[in-house]
Amino acid sequence: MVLLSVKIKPAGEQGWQSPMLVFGEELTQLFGPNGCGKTPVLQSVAYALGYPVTFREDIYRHCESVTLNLRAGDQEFCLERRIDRDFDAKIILESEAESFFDEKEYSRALFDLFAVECEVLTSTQNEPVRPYLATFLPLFYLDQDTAYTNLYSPPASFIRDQYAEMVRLALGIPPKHSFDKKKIAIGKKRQLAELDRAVVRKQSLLENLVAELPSPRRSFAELQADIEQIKERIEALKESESLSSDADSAVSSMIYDRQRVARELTSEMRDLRMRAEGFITIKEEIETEINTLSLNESARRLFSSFEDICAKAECGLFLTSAESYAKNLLYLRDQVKDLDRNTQLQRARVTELERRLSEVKEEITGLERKRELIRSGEGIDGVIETMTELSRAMFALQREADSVEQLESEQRSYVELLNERDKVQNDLASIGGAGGASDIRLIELRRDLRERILFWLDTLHTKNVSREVRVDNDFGVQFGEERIRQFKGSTLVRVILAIRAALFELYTRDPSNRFRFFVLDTPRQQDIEAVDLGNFITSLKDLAKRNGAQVIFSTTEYHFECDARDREWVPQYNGLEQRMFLGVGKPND
Amino acid sequence: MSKAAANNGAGIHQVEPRETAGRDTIARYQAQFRAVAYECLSILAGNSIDRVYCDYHDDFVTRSQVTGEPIYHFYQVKTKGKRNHRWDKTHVFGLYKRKAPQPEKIAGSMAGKLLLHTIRFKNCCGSVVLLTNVHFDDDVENIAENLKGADFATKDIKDLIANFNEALVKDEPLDEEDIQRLLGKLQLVPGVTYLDPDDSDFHALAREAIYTYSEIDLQHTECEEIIHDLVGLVEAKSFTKLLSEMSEDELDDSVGIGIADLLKILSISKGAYDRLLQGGDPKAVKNASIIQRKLSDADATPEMIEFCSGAKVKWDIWYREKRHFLPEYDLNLLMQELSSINNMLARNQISFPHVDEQITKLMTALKGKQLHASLSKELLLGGVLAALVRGES
Repeated sequence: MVLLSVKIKPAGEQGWQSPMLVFGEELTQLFGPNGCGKTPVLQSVAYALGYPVTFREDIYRHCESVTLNLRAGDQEFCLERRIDRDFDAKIILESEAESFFDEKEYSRALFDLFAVECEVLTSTQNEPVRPYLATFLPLFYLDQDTAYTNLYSPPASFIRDQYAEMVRLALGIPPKHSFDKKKIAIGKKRQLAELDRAVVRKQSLLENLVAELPSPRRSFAELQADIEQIKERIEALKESESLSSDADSAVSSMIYDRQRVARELTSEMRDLRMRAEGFITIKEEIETEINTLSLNESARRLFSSFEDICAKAECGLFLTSAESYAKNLLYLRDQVKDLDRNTQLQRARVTELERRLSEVKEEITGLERKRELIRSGEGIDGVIETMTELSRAMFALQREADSVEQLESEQRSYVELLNERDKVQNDLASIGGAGGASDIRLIELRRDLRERILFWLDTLHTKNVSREVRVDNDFGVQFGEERIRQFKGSTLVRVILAIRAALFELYTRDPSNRFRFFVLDTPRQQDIEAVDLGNFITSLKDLAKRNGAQVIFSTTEYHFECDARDREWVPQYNGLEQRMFLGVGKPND
Repeated sequence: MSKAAANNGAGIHQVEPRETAGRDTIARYQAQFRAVAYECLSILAGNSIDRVYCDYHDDFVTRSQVTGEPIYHFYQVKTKGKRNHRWDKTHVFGLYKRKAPQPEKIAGSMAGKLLLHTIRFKNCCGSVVLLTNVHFDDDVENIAENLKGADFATKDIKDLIANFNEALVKDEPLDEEDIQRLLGKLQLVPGVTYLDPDDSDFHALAREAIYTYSEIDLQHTECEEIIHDLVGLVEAKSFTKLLSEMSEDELDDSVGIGIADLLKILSISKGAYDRLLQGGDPKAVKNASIIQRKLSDADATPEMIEFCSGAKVKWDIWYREKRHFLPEYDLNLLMQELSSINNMLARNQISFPHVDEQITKLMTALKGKQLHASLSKELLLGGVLAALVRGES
């Protein structure tokens, strides 16, 4: 989803309005002094997205509605919400409007629109409940006051583990307290069983395909090149004037090709044979070692039967040896198993290579006979034979190329299947376990989050905070021994900003996630030095560029130098004391 | 002529020793160790018995967990060198053929000592067992038969019941029903051949069990070594000094033998053992190597398995050759690094694809050392896999 523009419409002729404010592709900076109306503008963006906002009284009095233009996928549409205490919003898509009069329906419609799959969660009252935009948006919208002192500050909290659930929803992990856990689990299990079967089918298909292909295996591109070469030869032969000499050279080069293959096969066979022989010597060595081990063990027993060595019955001098005898034996014999298996595989391969080699040799003999024919002047027959031979070779290659192509595509779909199965397995693990600790994705996300938090802490130049960051299963963060609520003032603001930015970064990493904007209403400049805030905004700009996201922030003192992909909004109306973002009629420029 | 004879004295081999009871005692001990070892092997079957205590409370004690509560079984081993010896009821129960029974005689008999456990351990005592390599005479056989059939009406058993309280429980006399219940716990097992002083039955039985619970094909001598180790383990546990105050865990550790102790001396890895217990194909366990089983469990493709086992083979060859030439210090350090990578993998701190990263790191760290010249990333991967196999086994 890309935010395109926002406009506040006036209530009546003397009402306040804003010009059409166009968002930057990467950064959007609202720059203006205190009290110029930055906050209502930013609030109205969240408001249009269904977030419950309490405006100042004069906004209710002077403004009619807010219109937010968006693009999701290749569809452009418009959200329009009346600035009123009652809920009244519209989604306008290709000039067809759908009206909503409560937050619940509106949330569902928007989640559908942005392809966020929400499952039914459990409320704090143990009732089924669906996520609202009011619970989800706080991940992306940092309201001026509470958002900088709390990790998550929703307008209302009624879902069990609301913060964890919303983060899970954002990052695509199944909910912690799904209301219809059982039903979902059954579905997932069935899906998993089907995938298991599909994987096994695919495996055997792949094995068959591989077995059909001649060895050594060549890639599709190589085969294509060979086919092209033969085609050229056929063409050359067709257009040729001195048929027999061209036919001669065509056959010769075919012989040369075959000989090259034969040489490759021979050298591969030699390698394999040598390795197999090497294995035999090593096996003998291992056997010797096993014998030595047994001898050593017998010796140990003999010695320990003499009390002279050590009169103490439980002295333990040889104890470790007794314990490790069987294990050493196991390790050595285990080596033999690997050796045996590899030798076996190699033998099978050598047999296959031998078969191929004799085929190739036969082909060479046949071709040589044909060349003789051509040379002995039985011109036209020889040429025809050469043509047939060439086309035969081409068809064979074409067939091989086809199977290689099929194999390659099957391999790709095999990998896809495996990925899908992994996902379903993780989903199941997430549903099943109490803490969901067995979901590998969750573990990975926690690790990545931790790493990114460290990055953002450094970007914000955060001092006095332990870098031993721990992220728990509920995405709570702990710094060494300290929890977030133990921090105060500027440290707290930095820590919160770091975590929020890290989370946003993880979210936007996946291009299929739709809420790609991060709204910061005046990141407390009194608490953060301009240099650090500058670093932070620059890094956010980087992030926006890399992940294709939009960052919107407002500021009074700090000023970021925007480039062509950014936009800066300044107040354009003349007010009593200063210029304002909202005003009557057309902006005075 | 021997030196002793030349000195006009008799050689040590010529004079009849006064007694050879000591030798007999040692042979008896060994019979007891064998009995314990044999019971230990039954732990492997994964049935109810989970621990065997050596020479503690009785010759040995086995513990079974059926309903979560531990139940103990007490064993007394009695061997006789003379094969045709038959224990009579005076020996076993302290009952006379013609005279009236005497309580103190009953208390001092084999059965009397065993029955004490039934009183002291109450419900925790599952059974008390007398094992012997010889047999019982008809009187004893009859008593055993009747006890088994819960027939308490014969004269001998009546005598036992009548004198039970006075012989064994002086403080709180039990009523007749209780005594009958306790007597029912007594089992007499004659003709246990593996208790014979020089007997090969024990080896045959033990070899069978050890062979079943091994993931490699063991040769005869190797089996024997492992049996020796097993008896050695029992011996070591029987010799442990007992401290006056020991917690249950300490006791389990110092005189008890559990599955962990057994797996340590058997040539099987924990994973393979679990697989066998769950009815896995023993052939597959014996034929496939640890790496092959691990990887195919993780759904690796045949090519991947071949590559990995090939890498491990290469590593084993490299190590076999280089351990004689390279500085031991460097080599040990390298082994430590590899096993720490394996540990990270095992503890889920890194995933398999990340192993490559770690190996590259290790490779750079080794630069400039003598080791570096002959190593490659593939070899190091083999090394990690070797550490994995060692960790498994």
